[in-house]
Amino acid sequence: MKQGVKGLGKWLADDLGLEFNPFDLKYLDAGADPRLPDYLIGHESFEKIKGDWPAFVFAMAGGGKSAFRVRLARACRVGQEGRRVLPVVYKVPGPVNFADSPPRLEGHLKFLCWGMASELLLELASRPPRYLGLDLETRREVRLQLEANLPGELGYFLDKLEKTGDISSLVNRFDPTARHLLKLPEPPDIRPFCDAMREASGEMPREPGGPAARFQKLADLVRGPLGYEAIYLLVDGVDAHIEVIKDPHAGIDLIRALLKQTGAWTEKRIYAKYFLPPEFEVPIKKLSFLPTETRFVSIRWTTDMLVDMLQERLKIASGNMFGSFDAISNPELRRVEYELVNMAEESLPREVLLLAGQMLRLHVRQFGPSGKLRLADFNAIRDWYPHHSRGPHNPQ
Amino acid sequence: MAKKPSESTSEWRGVEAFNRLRAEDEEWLAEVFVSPPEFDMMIGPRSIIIFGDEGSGKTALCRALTGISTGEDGKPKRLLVEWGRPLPVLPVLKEGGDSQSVEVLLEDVLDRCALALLRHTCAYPQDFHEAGDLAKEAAVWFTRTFLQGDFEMRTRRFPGEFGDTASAILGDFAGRSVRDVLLPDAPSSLVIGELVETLRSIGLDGAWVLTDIPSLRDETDTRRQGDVLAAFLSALNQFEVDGFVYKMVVPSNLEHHLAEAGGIDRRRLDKYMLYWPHSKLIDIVNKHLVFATGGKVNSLEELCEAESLKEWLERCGGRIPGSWLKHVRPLVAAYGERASEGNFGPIDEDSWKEIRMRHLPNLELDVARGLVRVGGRVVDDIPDTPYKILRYLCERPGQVCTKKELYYRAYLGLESEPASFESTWDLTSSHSGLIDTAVWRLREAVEPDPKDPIFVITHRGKGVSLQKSVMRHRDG
Repeated sequence: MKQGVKGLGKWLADDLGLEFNPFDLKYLDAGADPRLPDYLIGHESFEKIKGDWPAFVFAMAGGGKSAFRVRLARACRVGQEGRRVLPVVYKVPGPVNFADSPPRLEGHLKFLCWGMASELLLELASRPPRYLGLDLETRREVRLQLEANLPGELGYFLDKLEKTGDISSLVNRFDPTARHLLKLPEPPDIRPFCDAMREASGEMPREPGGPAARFQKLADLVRGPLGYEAIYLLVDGVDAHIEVIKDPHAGIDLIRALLKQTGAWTEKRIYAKYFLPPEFEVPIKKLSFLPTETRFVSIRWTTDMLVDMLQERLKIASGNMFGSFDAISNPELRRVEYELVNMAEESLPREVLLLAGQMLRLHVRQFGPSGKLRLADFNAIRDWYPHHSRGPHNPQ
Repeated sequence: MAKKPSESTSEWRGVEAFNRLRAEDEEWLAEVFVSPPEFDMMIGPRSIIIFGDEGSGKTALCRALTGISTGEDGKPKRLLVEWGRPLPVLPVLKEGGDSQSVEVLLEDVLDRCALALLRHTCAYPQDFHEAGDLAKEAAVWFTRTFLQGDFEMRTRRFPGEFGDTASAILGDFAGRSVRDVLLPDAPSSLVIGELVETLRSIGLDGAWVLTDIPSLRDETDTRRQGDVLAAFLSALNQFEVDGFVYKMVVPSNLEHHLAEAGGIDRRRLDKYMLYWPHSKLIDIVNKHLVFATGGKVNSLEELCEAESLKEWLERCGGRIPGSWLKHVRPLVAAYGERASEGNFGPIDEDSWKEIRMRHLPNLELDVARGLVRVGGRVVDDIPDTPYKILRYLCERPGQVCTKKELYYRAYLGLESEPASFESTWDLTSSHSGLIDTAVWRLREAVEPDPKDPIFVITHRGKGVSLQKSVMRHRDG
């Protein structure tokens, strides 16, 4: 196929001057887009969820839940406002992954331990002085907790770090959206970190303990010697299972144990933030045991916000050269980003991004990798979209 | 499937090229393959599910996707994993689909990945040897963790296929000591991520899981299959890893089962209904003609000079390539016979009409779904009255039915024709014109050539009958 992906990349780079494709269809899922943190726009609702309190974010699929989650994780990782907060991304597994139905807290804590240990390893590897500056006993304790709680062998992960010389392999594994955020150390820093981690093995016995005990110890370590002010548990992916898609109440059951623990956690400076579909909003708000300081946010997008989203991506990809689509369009095609937003189903960001990405692809298919966007490209996407809606197929 | 140039462009293959595609035909598929619209989307870096009717070219598409994944040097560009034919242990999967079903299917996918990885490593041992120790360790860990059953049994054919180096590689895989790269119950996204990174270390650009789900005849099995697949496609975490992609080709009767699967609704997979515009169907036929005749016939016009041929093919074949080829096949056979006598000119109209009478399409009426099909064409624009007449005639194949009978029993739905004194008796005799119009509309809808009907036959002075039809009653 001469007008395929390579043609698209070449066109964007050579003709349009973009450093990358800001509407790459490969990354329609926000949680997988490594560049997402770069072009997250300021949404008014974000301020409501980012502090030391439990929070619930409701949005339709494709409506920005994961983008909010990524943005919050980013804020934690870059130490926004000078704070050290550990974000723990928790994508809730399906019911079959739990021994009990509905799952008990212990079931969730096992996975939360994995998440916390993974994030901790990422953070320490990207900021080796934080680990190297600890006393030996604390370093041993950190190593012990990582060994006990990572979803794989610590030695294997350390070997990977050394081999690549940076944290990219771990970022790819644990959270691709962390790629551009975590400060990548100079190559020499990784080796001292890995060496120090290995040297800290010692003879300390592994302490027995179920998930609850391990979670507690890990959290104490994070908020104690490691100096984090808080831990944010970012609970996502509840609706990524067929049982919940069919019945939202099954989703409430899936996380009920977490919801019940939310209040107790706040006393330990562990704040759960949930990213849920809108069907959960009513039953969640009816729960009597949530702390009074809990915040609730429903994400809604205006036309201007969605246009900003498109323009921001274009701006980043062009190295701040282009502020709107007009810069990459022929004169016959003006303000096409507004047209795309108006066309998108239910004003969902994902649909808007899909339209932008497909329009670029259709241009290359029709006109080859050259020239600017044309009116014909907009007409093509307008014809294409009804046949590729999310619902049942519309015949061509 | 590696692309092979024709051995000889003058080789005559005849109707063999128009037979229904089988696996053994794949060596010449490259000669006749025509890419469907949006093929670039199908071969892109995203997962996709492609729905297609029977005969629409799903298997050919699968073969093409395999071919795309092979480089010019014949070496795979990515790990190709064939899965889902049939779906594993279907009888034990829970009706309605749930996470348990998903786990079973995912384990099966990973098993296939493990086997494919082993096979690839045996075929290209050098890439494995040149990969770093960590990549080797991860590859061994993955195959030993996810390959189900007995290692030796599953890999017994590889030494025969790839020689002594394969035995050495398999020995390495079986005997090498490895760490727990990931815990046994680690999330699937981590496992898949590890696999993709390993594949990249041995020179492969990730993996495609290629699925060609067969149609099932039984409605209950189809529903269960759809439910289970919907559950599988709702497990979103398996679609999160860059470089691990599903390319699924499934029967179109599963589309409504899967429309709300989470992965489709949330755009983790693209959804596509395989369709062929008229121009592409002509291309498919022409390519087959060139291949079949060794280049002596390059187009439909060179095969047969009948002006109405293309319209006939469209009305019998619809948008189904398989159906178009089926209806061209007898012309190719006839052309071959003439060519053997030294006559290489196109078949004339009269000869074609004789040929087509011996190879008529079926007319099918699926009562439960209200579906009418002529050959490969779905007829979806039959008005109500002609449909009623069609249904009535289908219930009495070959029987001559009078206009009065059609009016009272088919159109009005009465159990019998009324007597002249009954209130339902039509005094005006306007039924004749109504039935004539309805029969005319019916012919316009279903006949391949309305001016020369083959289904709805008029018996002068007596009535009409329906020839060569099939009527299905389906439950549910």
